[in-house]
Amino acid sequence: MSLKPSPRLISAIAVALILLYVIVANWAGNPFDAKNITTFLVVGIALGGIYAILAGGLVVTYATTGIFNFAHAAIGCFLAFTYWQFSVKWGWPTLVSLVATLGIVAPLIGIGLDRLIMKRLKDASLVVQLMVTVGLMLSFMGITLTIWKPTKARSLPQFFRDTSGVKIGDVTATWHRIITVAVAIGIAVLLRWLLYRTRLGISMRAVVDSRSLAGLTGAKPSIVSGTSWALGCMTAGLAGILIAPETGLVVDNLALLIVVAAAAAAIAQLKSLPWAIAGGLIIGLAKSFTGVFLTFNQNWSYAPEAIPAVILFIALLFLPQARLETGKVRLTKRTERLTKPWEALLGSAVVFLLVTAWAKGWIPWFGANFGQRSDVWLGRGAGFMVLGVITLSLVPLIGWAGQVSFANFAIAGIGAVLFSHFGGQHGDPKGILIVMAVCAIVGVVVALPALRLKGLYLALATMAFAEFTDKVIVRHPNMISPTASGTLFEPLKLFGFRISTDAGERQAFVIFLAAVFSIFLLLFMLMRRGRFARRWIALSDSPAASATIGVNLTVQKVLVFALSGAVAGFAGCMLGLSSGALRVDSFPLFAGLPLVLLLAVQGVRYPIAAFMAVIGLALFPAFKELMGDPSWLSAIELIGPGVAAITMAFRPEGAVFYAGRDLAPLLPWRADAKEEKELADAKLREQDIRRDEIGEMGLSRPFTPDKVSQLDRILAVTDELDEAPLVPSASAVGDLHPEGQGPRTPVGATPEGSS
Amino acid sequence: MKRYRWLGLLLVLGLVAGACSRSDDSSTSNNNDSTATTTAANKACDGVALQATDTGVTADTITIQVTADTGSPLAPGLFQGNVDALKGFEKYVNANGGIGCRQLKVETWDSKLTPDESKNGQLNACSTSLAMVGGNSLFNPDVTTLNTCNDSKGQPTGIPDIAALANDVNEQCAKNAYIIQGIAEKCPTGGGVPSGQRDLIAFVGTAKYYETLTSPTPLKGEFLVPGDLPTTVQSATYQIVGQASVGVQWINDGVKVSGRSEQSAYTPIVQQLSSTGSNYVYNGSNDKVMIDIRNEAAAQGLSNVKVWSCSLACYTDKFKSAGSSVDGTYTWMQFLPFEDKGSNAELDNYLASVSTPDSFGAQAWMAAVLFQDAINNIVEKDGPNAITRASVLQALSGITSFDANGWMGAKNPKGGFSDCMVIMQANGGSFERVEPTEKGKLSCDPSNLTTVNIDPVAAAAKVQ
Repeated sequence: MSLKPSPRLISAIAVALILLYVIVANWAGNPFDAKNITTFLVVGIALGGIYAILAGGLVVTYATTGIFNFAHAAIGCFLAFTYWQFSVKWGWPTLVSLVATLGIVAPLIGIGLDRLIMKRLKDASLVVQLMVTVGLMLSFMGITLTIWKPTKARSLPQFFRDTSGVKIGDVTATWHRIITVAVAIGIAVLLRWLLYRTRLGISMRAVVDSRSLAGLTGAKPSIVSGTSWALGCMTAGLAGILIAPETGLVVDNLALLIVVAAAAAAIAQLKSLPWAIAGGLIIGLAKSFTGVFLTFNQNWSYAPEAIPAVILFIALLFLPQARLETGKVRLTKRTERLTKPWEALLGSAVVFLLVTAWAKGWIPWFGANFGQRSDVWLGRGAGFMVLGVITLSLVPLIGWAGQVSFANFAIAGIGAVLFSHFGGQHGDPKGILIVMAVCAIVGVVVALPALRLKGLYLALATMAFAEFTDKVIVRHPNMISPTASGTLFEPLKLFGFRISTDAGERQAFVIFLAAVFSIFLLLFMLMRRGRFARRWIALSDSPAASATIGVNLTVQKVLVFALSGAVAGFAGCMLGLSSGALRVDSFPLFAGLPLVLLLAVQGVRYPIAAFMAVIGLALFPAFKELMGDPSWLSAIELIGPGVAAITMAFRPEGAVFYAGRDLAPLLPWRADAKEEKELADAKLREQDIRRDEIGEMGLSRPFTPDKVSQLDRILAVTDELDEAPLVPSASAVGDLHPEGQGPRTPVGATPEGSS
Repeated sequence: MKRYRWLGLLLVLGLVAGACSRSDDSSTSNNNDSTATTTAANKACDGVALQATDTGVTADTITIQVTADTGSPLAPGLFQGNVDALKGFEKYVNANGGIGCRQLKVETWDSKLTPDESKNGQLNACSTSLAMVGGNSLFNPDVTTLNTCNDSKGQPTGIPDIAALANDVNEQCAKNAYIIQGIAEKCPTGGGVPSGQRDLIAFVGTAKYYETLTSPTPLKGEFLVPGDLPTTVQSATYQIVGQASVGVQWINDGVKVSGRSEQSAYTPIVQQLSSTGSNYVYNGSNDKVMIDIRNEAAAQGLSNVKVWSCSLACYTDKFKSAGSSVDGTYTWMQFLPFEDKGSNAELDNYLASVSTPDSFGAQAWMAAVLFQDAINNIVEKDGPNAITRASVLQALSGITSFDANGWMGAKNPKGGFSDCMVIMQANGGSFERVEPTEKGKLSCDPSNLTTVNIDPVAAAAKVQ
């Protein structure tokens, strides 16, 4: 019998050895005695309880809706502030405030979200689902900041704060913390019971698997789905209320706990409530262990902040390999017309000319402050163009290859820092090539998880990378020196020009960036016609089919990540040049989110969408200035991209697609677009006629569009049963459960969870 | 969305409040009586045909700009106090005869916690304003424009920057910067910023006072270091060493804390304070940290700490309203507190002119008073048509000791430092004076300052 170690075992050993090395190398020397162990356990479990509640809610929401809700913590934050308003500001009794917040406001938010937004996402692509929930997160953060300005003092007291708590060794566990841990466990038990032992819970899970089938068994999908969201919001609110006294009523403290919650939920593989609780406790204990027993030297002094990201990454590392989908392949993308080379050239030239005309002051503006071509706005324009290049780098990655990544802003950050060492400090353009090469390699490193993960899990892995970059990589003293101050970059000397953000050189900088952006735009549009892009799109449409026809998926993933990383690296050089100074906290994970959001809103498959995204990004501050900086617009830079992303629930293809569909027929050389539009119009008319025919069948009650949809659903069920019998063959079950592609039987896959 | 470390960076302000200094100079005292100077200046207006003399100065108005971090998406209104103070000052001055024989016009610029917008603020001010007054931008590393932008005659005079606070060392050392808040070290005479092993001034007057509270037992405890950024950690180092030099025994070389931490994160610190029999905690971080650790100490039943002390960062409404667990916490400042209303005319003017006073706004008002003094000096000496950026800079350089008409401890605006303090104690939702106890008085003593010779970067490496 030969012993063949599994890759997972090797990974586990490697991770264990690394952790052991980290612990030994950074051991603080504190004795491993009862006192320290008690402190470690009590603090760790208290922290873990906090994270567990959030993670539990996240898992339940995912299990019952099929949507990973990035806004979970932000909703909890909003509800914690609501509770404060009731209990502290208005002085309502605690119980009444809790009932009002968790029994009325939270369910209303959940049902409202379901009715207005989430029900439209049930068949949406993963990108759309993710972007809408990230948009919700930014919106809830912005709304909370707008209603409850952080300049005012607010605090939420712990429950039973005047009691002494329970003494465990030398440490006192307060009743609030005991309640938190108990609630975490209670929620897990209660929700597990709900999901597995009640008709409602079974319906909830069934609706995620198939709304149509669930409908046939008597479940009411719309009610069940609304209940799921209400439940998700209630758990989020409960978490927020219990966490706020520990973290303070601070929006970013609360909302950004989503990273920790995601790590704990990843340990639970987004489906096991007990493991979600365990995940929270693992993270809490890890942080506590670090605080009590470890001391990191100056080089890695910020490493403890990256613990959730590291745990998230490790958890994802041990997920099962994503299988190739061989089940039903849905047509999610229409066949696109490829842009002709001359059209690409024309489009790029138009972009260049538009930006140049603006930089030259040839475009009139509406007011003194609205996009006025002043030195100030030229500087901002340069910044926006840089962000445009970062956004453009996402098009092949997300738009074509379908690899959802939140890491590109972090890669650009690495590029900016590297450029300050490799040429930027002397204005040497050769350094840009070095940085692009290094960032391409960084892109490949980010691609490694993509070789075995996809969809949501890949997005979470890239999120972990971005967080790790922010907390550890760029904070290393060799990256940004603790003594660094002032401007780290000299003006770039290129073909006899000086390019920098100095007042007299900003115009040249903007025009330079416009030229670079246009070149990248042209290359990407031309590339879209080539074999690489076709392979990437095939990879996105059907990995299995791609593999069948001989496409090497690994090579293609590595290539697209490398290309994207290189372009992001170039953008990073420009980012450094435009900022001048770099700080260790210049590249937080959440700074990159609006870029991904706005690209998705404009149409993630289209390079030109990057330009539109940047215009959108510029409009928010411009609008705020135009309005005279009113306080109610103070959070527009959060709410703006957030709301824009939410609109994807209504227009999932992106603005560029719809604009192209509506405007292209007007172009004299686009007869095809005209025909396509006529076909679409004809289809709409056909639908109208069908509705009329149903009405003419003599049925007594009117057939509303909802009823027609119901009829369609029944017909769809018939089709579905034809395609996928209720008792599939054993070999097909695994293939119908691809990781990261929505929980097809997420909970039901567990032994006791058959629905 | 960006610049999420604002909370941590606020800490530095508290630290600066606690320690900033430079032992400068001879101090040609200029304890000017504002009313007298203003009256003299007003007389100089009589019969003069006013002219536009420089950018920001027309025949009718003098325009200044206040640049502050007010609109960061995650921290809206962070330094709104600075803007409110300058807007209040505008109304107050214009209602009392104007400034430089003209009406004062205050423009605002939101630097959004970003270097980019801080630089844009300089550019905007250079094109519209005579000076930047009362500013507070945490990240202001590029001061090229501040130092060299052209005046209306095309001369690279730069623009006067009379800042309330300057956190960035590059702004502190900018040639045109005059700062109300203290600066802990001397800037190199040839330009640039200080680095390496060097002398820094630490304020130890508070520690010496606290020692009297526990005498004969020496102070022993922990220094809470704002740990979000390397610069904030470095800012704490010389205070740790300074307090140690007057007898404080630290159980560590400082411990990093963050305003983003959960309250449970303070349990190990509280445990250590308990097990080491500590009687002293100094918080160089923000008010949230102090509230959290005091709550945790209460939860853990810690009773041996006698002195809980905090920088100016705790002199906030939020801290006052944090409940009984923060009672007894000391905080200190170098100007007369708001509780001294009625004891100083300038303080009263400020309190009467703004609806929500805060310590940042107070220092912004003081900056405006410094600007007013400079203008009055110019008008008195050379007439109202002599007001230019160059003359303002020259007038400012002549003011080597400034006390905002008795509101603050006298210091040199060009990097000077005050040896004065007021210690307050939180009790029952308000602050009470404890040293000196007499309303309207500051406790001033040269021995409140001490010089330490360290390399902050190396010292920061020892902070846990």
